[in-house]
Amino acid sequence: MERELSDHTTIAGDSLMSVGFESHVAGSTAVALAESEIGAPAIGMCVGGITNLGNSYIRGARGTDLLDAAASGTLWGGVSGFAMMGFSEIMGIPVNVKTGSGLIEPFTGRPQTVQITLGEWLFGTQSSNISNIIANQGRSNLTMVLTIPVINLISMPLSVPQPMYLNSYLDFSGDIANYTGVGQYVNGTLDWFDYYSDGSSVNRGSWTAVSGPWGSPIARGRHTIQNGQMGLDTGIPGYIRDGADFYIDIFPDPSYEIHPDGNAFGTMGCIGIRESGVRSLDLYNRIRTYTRRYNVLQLNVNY
Amino acid sequence: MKRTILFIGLIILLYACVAYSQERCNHEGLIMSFLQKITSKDYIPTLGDFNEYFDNHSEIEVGLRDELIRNKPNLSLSDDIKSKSLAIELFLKHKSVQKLIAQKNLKNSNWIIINQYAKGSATIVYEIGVVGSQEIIKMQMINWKNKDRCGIVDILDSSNQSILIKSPE
Repeated sequence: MERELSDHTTIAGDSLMSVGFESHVAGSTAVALAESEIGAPAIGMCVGGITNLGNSYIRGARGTDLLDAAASGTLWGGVSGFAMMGFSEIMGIPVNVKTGSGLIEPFTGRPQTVQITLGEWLFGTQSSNISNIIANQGRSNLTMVLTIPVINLISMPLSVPQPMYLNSYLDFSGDIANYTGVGQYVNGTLDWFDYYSDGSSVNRGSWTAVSGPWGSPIARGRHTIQNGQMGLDTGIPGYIRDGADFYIDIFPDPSYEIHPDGNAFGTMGCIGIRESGVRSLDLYNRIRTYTRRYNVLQLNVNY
Repeated sequence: MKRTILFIGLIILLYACVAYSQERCNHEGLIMSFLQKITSKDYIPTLGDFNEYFDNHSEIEVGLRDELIRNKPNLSLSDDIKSKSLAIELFLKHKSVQKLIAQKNLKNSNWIIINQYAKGSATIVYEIGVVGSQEIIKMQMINWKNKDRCGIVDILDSSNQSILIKSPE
């Protein structure tokens, strides 16, 4: 059926009369689109992808969000194009025009038919050249029109901008536990959170940590870590665990620090990290990198 | 003229403050005072002496006490400053320390600082000996800029093994 339709298209200069071919009149834009076959979806994909990319950029999408929007537009543009192909076939059926030449085919005995183009059907055979040019241009334009982003915007949902990353913070939380014969300490975790513009926080890492019992645990509430107030390789035994050796001052009272929990279990009140050397150093590097860029990292203490 | 005198006076005061802060932790003085005290006749190691000479963030004493309590659950230890310091007692029992004390007493020698070097970014190690003895011990002192801390962090033997802290298994 598709090949039959495409065979029915003629360009100015071609013979209007042909023996043995069924004639159709390209009288509808739908038929013209169908004759394009791959053209309609291809144009739809290109236009849809570019336009949705632009729309999303205007709406504030960036990075991979733009790629997602472009891919979505491309997909739906192509779907629209294919849809129009099918639709055009349906539209073309009632407007196909066949005309007879009055002659009989020599081998089949059936009445001979001729093929007439859209231009010929609209404007008559005498002006077929111009007609066909106009018709062909109109066909191209209609292909474009019927696969513009309006279709895409109607047929697919609008992409929602992703929430923006704002900042990060640390959370030391846990339960108060008793260290037999000594006193209380906080047994908990130090968690890294990323905070976003929609108010959500995403946990990006968790480290086992304690505070106490050899001194009072760090006070509850808001503290900060500041750029430059930290360092590696102290050489102090109580700060060394599994090869990791560092300190990170906690403000407003820098006598409290975050450091690997070395030597005896627990700390004099500092937040002692009880993880492998690799994980501990990962925490240190994250804090160092963040504070270098943003100057201050908030630390919330809750227990 | 008055303004010049005032300005010079402020500069001197500034340098005095800086000099004072640097001298707040006199490592050599602290080491010598410690060694003289604990090697005196009839000395009894106390928690008060530990608190005086060791870094206030040190976990050495609490770690030793904790280990003792774990092994002897019925035992209770006092926090009184006159109670026994397990860390100083352990130090005095070490063979290298006993050799040095014996040499010192035999020849009425003095403790001497042989060498010093940085260990990490926050400590200095002092190699200590006695005149006339080949034996040495090493005292690791806190040396942390901008931190109000002063004292002994650890004591090591000649092969850099801690006398006071067990190595992690």
